[in-house]
Amino acid sequence: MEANELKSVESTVLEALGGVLGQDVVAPDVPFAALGGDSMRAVRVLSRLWRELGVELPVHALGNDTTAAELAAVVRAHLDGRAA
Amino acid sequence: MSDARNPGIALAATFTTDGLKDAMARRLQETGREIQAAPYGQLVEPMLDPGSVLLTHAGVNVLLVRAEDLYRGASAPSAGDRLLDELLPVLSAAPTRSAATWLVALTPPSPGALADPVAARWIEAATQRIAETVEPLPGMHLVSLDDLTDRYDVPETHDEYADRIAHLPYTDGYFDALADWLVRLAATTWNRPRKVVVLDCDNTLWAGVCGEDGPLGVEIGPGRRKVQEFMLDQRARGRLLCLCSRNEEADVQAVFAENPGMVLTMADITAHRIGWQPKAQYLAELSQQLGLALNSFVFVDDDAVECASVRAQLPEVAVVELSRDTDGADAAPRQLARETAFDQLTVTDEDRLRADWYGAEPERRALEQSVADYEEFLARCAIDVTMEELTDSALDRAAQLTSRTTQFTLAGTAFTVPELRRLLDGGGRGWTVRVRDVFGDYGTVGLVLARADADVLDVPVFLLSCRVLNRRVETRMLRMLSEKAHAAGCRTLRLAYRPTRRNAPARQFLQQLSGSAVGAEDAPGTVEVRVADWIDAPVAAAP
Repeated sequence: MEANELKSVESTVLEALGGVLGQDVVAPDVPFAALGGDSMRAVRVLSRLWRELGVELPVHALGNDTTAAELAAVVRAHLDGRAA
Repeated sequence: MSDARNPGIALAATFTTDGLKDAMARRLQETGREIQAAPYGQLVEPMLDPGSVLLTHAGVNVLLVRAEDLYRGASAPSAGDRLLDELLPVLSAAPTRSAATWLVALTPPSPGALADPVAARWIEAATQRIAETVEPLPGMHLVSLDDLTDRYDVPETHDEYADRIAHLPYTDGYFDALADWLVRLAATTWNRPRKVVVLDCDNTLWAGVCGEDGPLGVEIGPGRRKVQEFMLDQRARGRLLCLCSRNEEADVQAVFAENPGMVLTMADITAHRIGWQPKAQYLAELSQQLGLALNSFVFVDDDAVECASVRAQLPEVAVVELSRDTDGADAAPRQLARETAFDQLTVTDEDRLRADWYGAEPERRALEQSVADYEEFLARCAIDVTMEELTDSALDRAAQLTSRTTQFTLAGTAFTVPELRRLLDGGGRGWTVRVRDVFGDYGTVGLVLARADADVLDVPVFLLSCRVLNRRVETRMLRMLSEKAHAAGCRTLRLAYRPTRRNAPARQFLQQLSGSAVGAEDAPGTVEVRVADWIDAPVAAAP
């Protein structure tokens, strides 16, 4: 995968989190719960990623302790797995 | 729980309602009323179970049915007939089982279901059967959601992926609109109804000033026309229309008589005050003339100063500061549609009398009938509960259950897979619980972890997914666990609990076991259960 595509996955994830949580800036290394996330919001974030990137992630892919960076890594792994 | 003096709302739906419930709770906050929800996905059970949130209060019960959920997970829509056949008679009997006001709404089918002709046909037929059942029932109201997205400007109704992974079929925006509408309808049952609408004239019924522009010079464009149509509809709903205007009376009369754009006529107006005295004074005079209290008045005026003055002098009057045409032709009609002072549920006299009619005697009978019906329903469900020894292959699902189950969990402790493995390696035991019934296989939905300490079996985890609550699965789990304890030489079960705000179903179960109530704020503790009580107990009447 190209470097700019990696960056775009990362920023898509940050935008999805920010959009659902109503925050302009989301720190990539803060756990989801600490950002104000809960299980309902997690579902909305995953739904957004499905719409925007086509990745089908289960509910527990975004838990209370998951950071944006970790979520982005999971999304990337799914995209890579699909491309392979 | 809401007490009889301040009844709230109880909610049951065929889908996940967490987001909706929160949105409704926010709107109820200032009223001091509460909202409670039945377990996920359940409609029939809480309408039968005498201890459910629906049958234990006298507020408003909201039932939300998305028809396709009745066959969710089945291979063909016709599988939903079975649940529908259970649901309809239970709906018919519901008003006799509770003094609450029932609101029933059929929520929009998913685009996916509508695209499938077989599913679409089934949904249409089911929708019609439910509507036909609900409509004639006293105390039960069918709430139309047809124009909800339009009235509330909801850009997107469905959330397809959230529906798939969490059975959350609608967007937050849709839930917000639905929450607002449902709470408004519920509020009409406990707020005093407004009976009189007092209307300003210039820039309220028409654009312009009749004293300056003349009867044909004032404008009645699409926006003001809709305002007048709205008021005519209010009149048809039984409200009295009055005028209150700073003008010469002849000028106002001339607009009514001569302007071809007028929808309202003077014949629609019950009383009027047109002149130069303060409007608060005119409102008080109208109140006297009509013999109706000011707290049943709505005052509609475009002028901010007039509105502020009435608000200050007559706080009991509902004041609507109406948008002008300059804000856009749609602004005022949309504002009126959102204005709670005009909300009205079709409440018949019969409904109002129900509270009196609903004395102790019929209540007891209805409850007894409800218990009998519930037992029969459970028997028809043919619920099959099995407990399997926890093995490595089930550790993932077990860990997931400990982290995701929040309602029926006694202690609420989350375990990771390595922690579970350590517990098993250290002499602990675990069982996963699988539930099936005639409607389908619910999969692994429960978990028990235990460790023997001499003749006591310590139980740090006892949990059940909310999908199978209200079906006596928990008592069967306890009975099966007692058998295991007995076989292992234990005489007592020691159930650890930790109260939380969310685990009310588990706390209720504890209360059944120990006889004493456990509150959400209470300290953690343990409840001891004699194994002999549970293995000697007769087996439940279930299959």
